[in-house]
Amino acid sequence: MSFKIIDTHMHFGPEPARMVPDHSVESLVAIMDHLDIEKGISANCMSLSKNLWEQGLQDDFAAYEKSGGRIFSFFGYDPLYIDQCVEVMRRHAGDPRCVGIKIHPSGSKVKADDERYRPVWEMARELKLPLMSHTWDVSTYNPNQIYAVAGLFEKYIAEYPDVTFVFGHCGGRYHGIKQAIEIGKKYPNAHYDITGDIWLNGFIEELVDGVGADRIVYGSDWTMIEQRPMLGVVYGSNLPAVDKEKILRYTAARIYFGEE
Amino acid sequence: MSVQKRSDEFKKWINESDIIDIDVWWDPTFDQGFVTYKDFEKQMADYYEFGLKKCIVTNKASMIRDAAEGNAELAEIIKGKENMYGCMVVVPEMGYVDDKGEAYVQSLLDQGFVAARIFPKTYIHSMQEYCIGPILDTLEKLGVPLMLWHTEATWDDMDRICTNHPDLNVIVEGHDRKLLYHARDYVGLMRKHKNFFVETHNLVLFNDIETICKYCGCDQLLYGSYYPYMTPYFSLYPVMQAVIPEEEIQKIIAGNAKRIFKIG
Repeated sequence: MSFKIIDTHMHFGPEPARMVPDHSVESLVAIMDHLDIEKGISANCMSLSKNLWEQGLQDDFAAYEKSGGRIFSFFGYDPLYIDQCVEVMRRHAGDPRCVGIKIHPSGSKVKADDERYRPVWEMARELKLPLMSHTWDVSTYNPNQIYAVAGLFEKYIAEYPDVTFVFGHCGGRYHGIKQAIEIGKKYPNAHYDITGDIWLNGFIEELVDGVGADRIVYGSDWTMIEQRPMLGVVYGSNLPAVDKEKILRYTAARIYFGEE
Repeated sequence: MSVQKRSDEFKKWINESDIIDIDVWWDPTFDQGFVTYKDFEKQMADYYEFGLKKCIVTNKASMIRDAAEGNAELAEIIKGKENMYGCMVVVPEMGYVDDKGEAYVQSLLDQGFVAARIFPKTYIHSMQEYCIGPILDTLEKLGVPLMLWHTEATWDDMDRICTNHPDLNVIVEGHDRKLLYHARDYVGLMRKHKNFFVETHNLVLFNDIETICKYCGCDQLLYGSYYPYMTPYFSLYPVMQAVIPEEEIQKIIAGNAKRIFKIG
């Protein structure tokens, strides 16, 4: 039987800025089958950027059904709407389709170490769910990335050692990635997803060398970034097969799906 | 299929495929990466380890220091190197001499250059005909494709150039800035202008290659890696695994480049 991949970072839901004529569940499942991706986890665009957390979840749940149980969900959390987000999480607590919580400080424009994020770390602890955040580097053309630079997460990572935290995009670019790795060397609950266009030559070897493959997961950022680029980075790398397997499946299986 | 087998097949495909990479850089100033080079021979030795064999190289010095000096430096670097071609950087004043810079451009073509770039923001000039018309006339006359960054030239600039110079092949190269927000622009341009091309390393939207092939055909896609900044594995796998006929993949990785750069 073919090795099956888990894609830990996807986005169902409408996003008018992107020209993706066919973003149906059917087309997604077709490419997942083509690439041997067994399942994926979606942070719905409606939850992330449209303040429609319940609708975003329902959209993801519909994808779960249509995909035959292959698309799972992140809860969304915006520190500017704490009560609404916590209510949604409590309403769906224990739902096996909800396997993590996603925050996006750049989107919310609230720095990741702000006290308004404390409730989500508490919820992650209470619900025993991994907490994944968009992380990036300081950007000359997207100033909002300053809210999500890697160093800002250290405060909560340190305070909540029992919460599995995932640096989405592992810090984004050179300095962000290095900063995220340094944090990971101090805190074993820090994990990394290689989602998006993280294409720096030699980065994946640097990341594995710094924190180990069993703290790294694969993600695509579908529909914004599709599945194949980062798969190529992993397949082509000089890492041993056992590390590639951890990145492509086993780490995610453990932290998001409780599979040992 | 196992991960090891997929990895082996990927590398085998690269090694056995005829791939022309139109987007390699020589940039010894680059230090914001985990792999950087001060030695061109070492950079290219590592490049060939990826399995790639043919490339068009641009000298970063031509962009950030002096176009003519950088071009001359690159001419020396690529001299005698099989399957390695140069990309010159041109500035408007190169076209202001009597022959619109034809002698200069031809001299570079004679030294193995096959493409040109222009950086209007870096060199602070207009992209209107009054400014760049003469040098573009020369590139068009000599059949030298022009590569542009979408952060240096606007999509309207590209539309105008393609209209005013219908025999000049214009290529947008995504460098390190996401192209995905501009899909409606580059697809629109590809549909309107058969002389407008997109280099593939930064085509990352879901099914981007398939969508382009559906709306425009595959003849205007050109493989590029943006090495050494980017690992070529990032850009090669989407082409290898594109859900399009094999002959279209072959066009993207080499056939289209052979046609418009007359190499190969």
